[in-house]
Amino acid sequence: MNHGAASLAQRTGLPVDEKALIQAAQEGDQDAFGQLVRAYDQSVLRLAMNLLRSQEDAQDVYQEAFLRVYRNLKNFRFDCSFHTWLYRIVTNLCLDQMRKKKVRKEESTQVEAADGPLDRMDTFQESRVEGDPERGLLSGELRERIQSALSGLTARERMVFELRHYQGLKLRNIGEILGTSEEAAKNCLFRATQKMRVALGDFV
Amino acid sequence: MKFSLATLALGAAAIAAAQAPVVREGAYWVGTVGDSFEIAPQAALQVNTRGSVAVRRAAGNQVTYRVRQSVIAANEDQARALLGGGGAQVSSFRGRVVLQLQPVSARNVETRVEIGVPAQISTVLIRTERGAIHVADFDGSVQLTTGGGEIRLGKIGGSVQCYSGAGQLAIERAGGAIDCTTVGGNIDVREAAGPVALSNQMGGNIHVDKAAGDVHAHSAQGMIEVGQAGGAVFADTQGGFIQVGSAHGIQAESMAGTVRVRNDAGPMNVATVAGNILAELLSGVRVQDSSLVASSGDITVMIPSDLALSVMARNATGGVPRIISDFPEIRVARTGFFRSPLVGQGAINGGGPVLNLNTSSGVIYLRRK
Amino acid sequence: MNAKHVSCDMVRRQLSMLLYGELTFDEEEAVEAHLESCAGCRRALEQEQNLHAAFDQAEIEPAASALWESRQNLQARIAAEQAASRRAGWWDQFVDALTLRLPSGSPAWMKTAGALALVTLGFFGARLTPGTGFTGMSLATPDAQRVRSVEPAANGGVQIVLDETRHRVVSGNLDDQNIRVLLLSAAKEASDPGLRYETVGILNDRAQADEVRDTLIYALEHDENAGVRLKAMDGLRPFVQHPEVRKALAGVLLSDGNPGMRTQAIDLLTEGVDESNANRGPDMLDRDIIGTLQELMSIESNAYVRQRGEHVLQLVNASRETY
Repeated sequence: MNHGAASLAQRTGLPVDEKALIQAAQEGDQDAFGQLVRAYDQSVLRLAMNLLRSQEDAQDVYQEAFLRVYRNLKNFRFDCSFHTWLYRIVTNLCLDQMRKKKVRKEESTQVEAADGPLDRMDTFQESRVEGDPERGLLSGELRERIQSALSGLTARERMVFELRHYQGLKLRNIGEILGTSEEAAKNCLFRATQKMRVALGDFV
Repeated sequence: MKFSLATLALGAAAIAAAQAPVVREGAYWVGTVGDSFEIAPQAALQVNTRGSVAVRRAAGNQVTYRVRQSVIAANEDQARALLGGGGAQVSSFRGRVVLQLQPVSARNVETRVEIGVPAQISTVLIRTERGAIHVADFDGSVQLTTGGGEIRLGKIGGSVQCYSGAGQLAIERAGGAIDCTTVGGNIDVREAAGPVALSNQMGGNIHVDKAAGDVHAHSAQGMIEVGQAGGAVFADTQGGFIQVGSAHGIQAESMAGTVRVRNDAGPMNVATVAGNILAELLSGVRVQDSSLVASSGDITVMIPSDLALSVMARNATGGVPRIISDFPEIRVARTGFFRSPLVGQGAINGGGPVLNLNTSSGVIYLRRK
Repeated sequence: MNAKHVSCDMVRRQLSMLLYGELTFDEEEAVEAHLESCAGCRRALEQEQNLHAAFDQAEIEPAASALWESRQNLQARIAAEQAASRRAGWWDQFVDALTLRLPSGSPAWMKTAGALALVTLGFFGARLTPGTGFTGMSLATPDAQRVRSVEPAANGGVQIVLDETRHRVVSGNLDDQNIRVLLLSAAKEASDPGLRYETVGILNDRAQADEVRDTLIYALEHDENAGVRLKAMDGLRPFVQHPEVRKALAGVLLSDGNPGMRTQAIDLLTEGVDESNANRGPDMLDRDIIGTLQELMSIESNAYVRQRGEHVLQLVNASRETY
């Protein structure tokens, strides 16, 4: 429909220079902005969902993160990659939310139960294991164990683990995103896997 | 952003089949449970479930729901076991009343949900993991998502948003905007009182009879037909024809297919890679600068004799390019010497907005109407 | 590098990082050398791998609808922000954008179209070489013709425009053999998908004839355009009891990449197979279809199509052990 760099690439299947896309978006090209969002939003939503375990909360983080990107894109100066910048925003929002949640959880367990995050979890997982009922049964128990092991991690350990294991980012990059050194990220991941191993050791 | 988790349990009921009667119907064991609860006027109702959902109007101020689950089982006890579990929960979340119906997840259990909503409700949101969604006439707005299955809507008073992971979408009427996506399948809209945005991610035909506002239609592969649009039409398909009966401005693009458009006013931008273009301009309207490009195909423009227009036509077909014009004002000449394109230029009725025509393989016709 | 310098304890602390590829070159060398000579640490590595595999299972994939909703909401929020800060109206921006992009020399549209044309080089009109069926027609029986357009005429007939050296209009009734020959070839061979769609649409009214139905089945199975395939499926709907139509629909289930096609195909195939006549058992569906549905269960990715298939299979008491 439109004739910006974004849609041309879409229709010709050619890769478009991300920098050109960002610059176009900075100049107000809505199409280019949309293209940028679509390039990353699935992994953003997945990250938020896995960390927060609630679709509503994950959608909130998605919304707020991309709105911040939208409002501040003109100030983006390419001194880090767009991905790093975006993830900085997303991880901060998630960490805030996780800490709040933790506090809330300690204050009242009733609220948590009423929201029914466990119910929703069941909803999502069912479709993943649907193909093999037997495996579904096995992994159900295991998943519960992993879930409780994950909740034993600190927000930061949880974040590093999520970024490294599920999002597949390199520790150096994770350090950059979280505003810390590669070494610190590594220690964090080390602690996380250590705790997980202890919690699940007899299970796998 | 408000991160507060304003969840408040209003009430909870279990859809435990152990308490619900299980009856034999043909080859099936069927368990049906239902209940109702009061809802405030102008409230928004959200239903999260799995299985097909039918929404109809209910009298009074009560939301009613009925979950019917059927399964094949050897005996009643086994059926009870299969249908057990799940639950219904009513809570309030961000100003919405949320009805969580979690039927059993086993694939061999067929679930049908019926919801009765009072007319006074402002919005109905349905999220089902899989299954068709049918909404009979409803005065408010709807927002519907299903992982797969058709979505069929009657006359909706407000706006319509819907998404299906697979299946066709049919909407009889929307009193507001329509914004709908299906991964694959036809989309059919009879009438919309607002703007319309339709998208087909993997292919299917899009048909809009009448829309009061702009129409955006995207099909990965398939035909796009818009009867009448009060605003501009934006249509694109990777393969298929595009047909616009009338619109105030047209932007149409097909990778392979004929484009037939009739424009009331506003600019017109049409491109097709392989296919013809037939464009009709209406008499006595205000046209604007426009462009018609057929990379490989003919371009025919029907121009009313009273319309003031400047024409810039370019035919780069090899061999003997042709521009056939009913207007003596258009002078046709080769621009250069060797294999240069044929150019037709001129001012009709003293000239006006510019009409650009381009083809690389075809004939350009300028017809007087 | 001497493996003796590293202890089992040190190695085991590093196994996880080894799997993540986060060790330095030297560290990795040392760990691998140690592993070669230490069975205990190799077992520990195996266990670590199992642990990682277990983590993988706990990941949640957000539903496609959740992503879609998020995009919708974001779009709405951004539109609201824009509306607040906009100087000119939407229409003016639209017009500005169009006029700016149309300098007299090289319109952007032309550039776009040119680039796209590279992709679709080799496009030609449908060449039809109808055989002897043409003798009765008032045509000069040219060697090759191109069907330019097909549309229904007022009297229930059909009008076909052919390209020769100039356009020629051929009119006639749908039951006219010559007309039908042209239509049947246009439905299969026209390279313009719009033309195939319209032709299929006209043929849909005559699907009771075997040759027409065959052509529609051909379009259903082979047309590259989903829009044309969906149209052909519409025409075949009343003939869903015909074995060849059922077979074609079953083929759609297994091989059509468009989930909308599969959704409609399963709905059609399983129409009438419901609780009211479930007692009839496996006779309700022919063996071929049952086999197809069983095969489908092992490959289908869409939850709705799977669930419908499963439901029907269970209903007809088909053997479910075979998949």
